[in-house]
Amino acid sequence: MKKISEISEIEFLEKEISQKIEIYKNFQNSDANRTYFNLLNANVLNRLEDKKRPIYQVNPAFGYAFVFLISFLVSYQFIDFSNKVTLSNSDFLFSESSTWLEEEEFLSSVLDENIELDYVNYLNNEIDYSSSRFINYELNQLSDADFDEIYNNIKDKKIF
Amino acid sequence: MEFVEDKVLVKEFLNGNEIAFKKLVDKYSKKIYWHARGMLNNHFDADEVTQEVIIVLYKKLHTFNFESNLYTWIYRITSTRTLNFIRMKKVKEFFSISDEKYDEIRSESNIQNDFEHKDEIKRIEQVLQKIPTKQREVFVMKNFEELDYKEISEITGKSVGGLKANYFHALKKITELLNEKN
Repeated sequence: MKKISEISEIEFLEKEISQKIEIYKNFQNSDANRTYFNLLNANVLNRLEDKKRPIYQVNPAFGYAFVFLISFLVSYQFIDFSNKVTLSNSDFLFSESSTWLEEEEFLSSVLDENIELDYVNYLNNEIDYSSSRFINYELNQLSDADFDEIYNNIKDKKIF
Repeated sequence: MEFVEDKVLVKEFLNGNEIAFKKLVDKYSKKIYWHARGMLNNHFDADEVTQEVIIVLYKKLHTFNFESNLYTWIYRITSTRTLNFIRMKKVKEFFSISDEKYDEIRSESNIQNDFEHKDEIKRIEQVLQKIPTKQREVFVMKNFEELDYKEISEITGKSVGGLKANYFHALKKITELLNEKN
């Protein structure tokens, strides 16, 4: 019973708006829109044609050359040509494999250190050492007779 | 007859005949457009969806297995794309990405210009936008595309009973809204 009333209601409602539906359907089937649909179809088919067209292919050799050129230009930017570069490693502190960064770090740490040398003591030691070496050398050169004479002089306090 | 004709065109296209695809586009672009237009109430959006669906057809036609009618398959794609478009539009509106003013300006210049029933058509489309998407879809397919419940069920994947209920509610609301305006 409820279904029958629903169906009859649907029919009633459909009838009520049938005129409006008809207007919309006429609008859909209007020939005035034919140009638009022709253009729409042509547009989509053109888009599909464009998609099918292969993208311009570059010779791989040119591709590699281009990549090389770009990488060279990029790496060139990182080299500072104003710095002097010594090819042979004269500094024994650093091996060939040590990087500029390590060397620079070491040198800056050395410069930062506050080195205090006891120059007076150092010089005294040096003088003592060289003078003692000198005396020893002279003594070694002496003959036994001369040595004995000097020894006796020292003993007799003739020398000093 | 129509089914056989479609089958021949699809097979010709799959064998490399591009003209066969053009014939299919000429035959179905109108139907795709009007379905999208009924759902979206906007000429430019409908145009976009139509183009998208035709491109999908071109790419996916090889997957069509002739188990159903071609138009059912095309409607299924159109329905899915249109619903996705509506979802995307809602998301854009939520994040205020879409420019409503711009949309209004765009929707003024569409194919209904210089048509004698311009205002009535505009009113029907506005009313359609006020009902839920599911109900709108059944209403559009049943009234404007003249599909029966079985065909709509095949396209949407919903039961005939559910579709009938949706149609009834849609019809009631649309009649009310159209009378309100009057």
